[in-house]
Amino acid sequence: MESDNLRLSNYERDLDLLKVKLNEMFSLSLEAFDLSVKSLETLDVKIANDVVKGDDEIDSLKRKIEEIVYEILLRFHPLASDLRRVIMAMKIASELERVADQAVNIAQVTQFMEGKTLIKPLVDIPKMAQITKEMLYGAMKSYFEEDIELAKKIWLMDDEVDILDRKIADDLEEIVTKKCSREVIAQAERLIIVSRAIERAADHSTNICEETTYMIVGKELYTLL
Amino acid sequence: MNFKKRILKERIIFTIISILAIAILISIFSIFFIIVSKGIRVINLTFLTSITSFDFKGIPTGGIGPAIMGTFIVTAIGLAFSVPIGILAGIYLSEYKSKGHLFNVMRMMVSNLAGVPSVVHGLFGMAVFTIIFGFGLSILSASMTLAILALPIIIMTTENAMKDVPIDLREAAYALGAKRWQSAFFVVFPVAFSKIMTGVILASARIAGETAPILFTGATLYLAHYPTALNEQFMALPYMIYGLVTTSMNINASVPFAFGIALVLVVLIVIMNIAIMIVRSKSRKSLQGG
Amino acid sequence: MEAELKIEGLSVYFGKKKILDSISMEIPPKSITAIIGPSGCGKSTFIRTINRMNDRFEDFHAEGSIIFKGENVLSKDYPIEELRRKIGMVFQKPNPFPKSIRENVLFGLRINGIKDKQKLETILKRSLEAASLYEQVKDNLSMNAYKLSGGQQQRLCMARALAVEPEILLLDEPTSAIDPIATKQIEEALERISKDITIVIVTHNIQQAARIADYIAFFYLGKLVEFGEAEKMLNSPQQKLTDEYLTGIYG
Repeated sequence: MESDNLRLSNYERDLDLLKVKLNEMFSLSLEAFDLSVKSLETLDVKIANDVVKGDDEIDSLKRKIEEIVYEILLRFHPLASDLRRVIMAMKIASELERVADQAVNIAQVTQFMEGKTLIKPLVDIPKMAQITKEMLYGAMKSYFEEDIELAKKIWLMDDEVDILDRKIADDLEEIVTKKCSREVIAQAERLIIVSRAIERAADHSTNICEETTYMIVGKELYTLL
Repeated sequence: MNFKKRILKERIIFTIISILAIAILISIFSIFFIIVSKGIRVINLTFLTSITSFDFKGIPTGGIGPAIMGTFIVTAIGLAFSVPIGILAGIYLSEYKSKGHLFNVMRMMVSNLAGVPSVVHGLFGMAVFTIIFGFGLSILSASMTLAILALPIIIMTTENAMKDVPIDLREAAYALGAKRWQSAFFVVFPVAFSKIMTGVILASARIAGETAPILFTGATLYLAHYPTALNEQFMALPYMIYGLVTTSMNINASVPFAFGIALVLVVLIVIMNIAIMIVRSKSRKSLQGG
Repeated sequence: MEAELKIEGLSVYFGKKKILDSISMEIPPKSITAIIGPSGCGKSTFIRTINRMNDRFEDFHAEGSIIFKGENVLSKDYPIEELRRKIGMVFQKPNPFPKSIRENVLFGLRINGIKDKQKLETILKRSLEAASLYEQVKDNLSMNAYKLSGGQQQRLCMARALAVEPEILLLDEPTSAIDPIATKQIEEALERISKDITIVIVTHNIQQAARIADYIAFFYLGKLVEFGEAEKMLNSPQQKLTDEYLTGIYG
């Protein structure tokens, strides 16, 4: 973008740019996650390929955000809430990059499933994904609107995801015990990977909520529950 | 157009001021020139050291030895009284609480005293020292009168010199636990020393050349010997000039003599001024890190 | 941990003007406490009240108490010279005496009547070392202090203050007129000294406070807004005003 090449000499402008880039990254990561789940639900390999390709952009965006953070720290020595804002921006970017990585993992499972039939219809995975999508979206909202209550609410949703994750593991174990072919085991492996990926994405969302809370009030989220 | 006018104006003013400056310099130099040329004829070792005498025709012979001694002694004793008191008073006014009406009035009185015509000092000295204290016409009376003349000069220069020292140094001393007198004597005074000495030397040059204060308190026109005791009368250089020119029987012979005395006085004062410059530059060097 | 200095309800007036408003805080011992805040908010007045340097102003008036070793230093009976020996001060502009380096450092000792040559030389060396100056001047102790550079002069002033072995050292923006390298040397010296002496330093340079302070006090318009451990306060201050000040430096 052109504005990236402009010599940023103003503290406020740097902070604003940070917010803009983080916004971009939120959108891209959320979209990647959303698309990856969709690709699995519809077994659409094209979408999956797009998700895998798009990961590079997200990685470079994270690096850009880190650059801006380094510059702000070096030049302006921010303190107190500004310091927290800047450090948390870098941490949240890192969480979002990992969310995108999980999306890639899910997309890669879709690629594996090309031309195959699912060993079981997907019921819980979409449910988990939906909750996690809400959590990601809610975490993003709590950051940009600086809403601690929302952060707390999202943080607590993690339990539901964990429960579903365990249920999926149980279901798959049962299926594998009944039908023990190579194909079945391979798919079950992959589906566990998906479940884990979604669970990790939800985890990253709670991390984002924790980091947002610390940024706003300088206290750990769990102390405020 | 404006520019040229301004340059012209500046040139004119510069020329006028230069002419005036040169005129002043010429007049000053002519004073020196006259004194030196008329006086130098009379100067020799005999002149400077022998006692004065006159012969029948009123021509002064001998020398001005006693007068030189007299002037020195009276100046020295005058300083002995006025310098310690004056410096201490100046230090007090500068370092201790000296705000408020009482002190302002005091300061005004001191500076007024400095401006009082020296004749009045002489009258005062006569009334107080020769009569009331009973010292009579003597070196002692004259010295003390001169001391009173010198006192305001020394007090004022000391106070100003001390006040000129920046407050930082005092604060540094206080912060180490110094008492006020310790700060005043060990920190501020050494820094103000050269200016104070300048004041002292100025005061001594002043009192050495004064005629009126010693007129009624002990100076005499003719003494056949060097001064020997404090309660005696004495001869002094300025008074001698006055005496020779006004009361001499043979004016023509006396006037060159008088010029000789004037030359001696001027040389004395020049020496004192050189002393000032030496003291100041030495002291400045040591403060800056010599 | 017992406080070195306890300030209770200190209010300071110059004439009718109130400069400090009910300051209460405890200075922890053997550490560095930095006092920060915008200009003119009473920081200098505060530390100058501790060693009673403000006494010489006729219209100065203080209420409240400053407890040092169990006694209120503001009371009329407290021996001021002794106070200033136990609580030393280094000023913003270096103010060495126009004397030799040796005479500068030993001044405080001499006016207290200490004459023992051996003792004086020992203290001279020790004080100059504590101020990181000894190596640079050890061969020129008779040189006039005015020949030193600004940073060296300030360290000389530190050595001079340390020579009388104070328990607390107050510093009023000591490096604001000094170049960065000399500033660093002074900061390092302070960190070393703070193991034995309690340091209270007024600074308008937040970075300096960030570098060396163990505790920070934030003053605003004559009031103490917040006091706490340095890292915590610079990262997540409790008071909104503190946060506004810290983030407003570049805004």
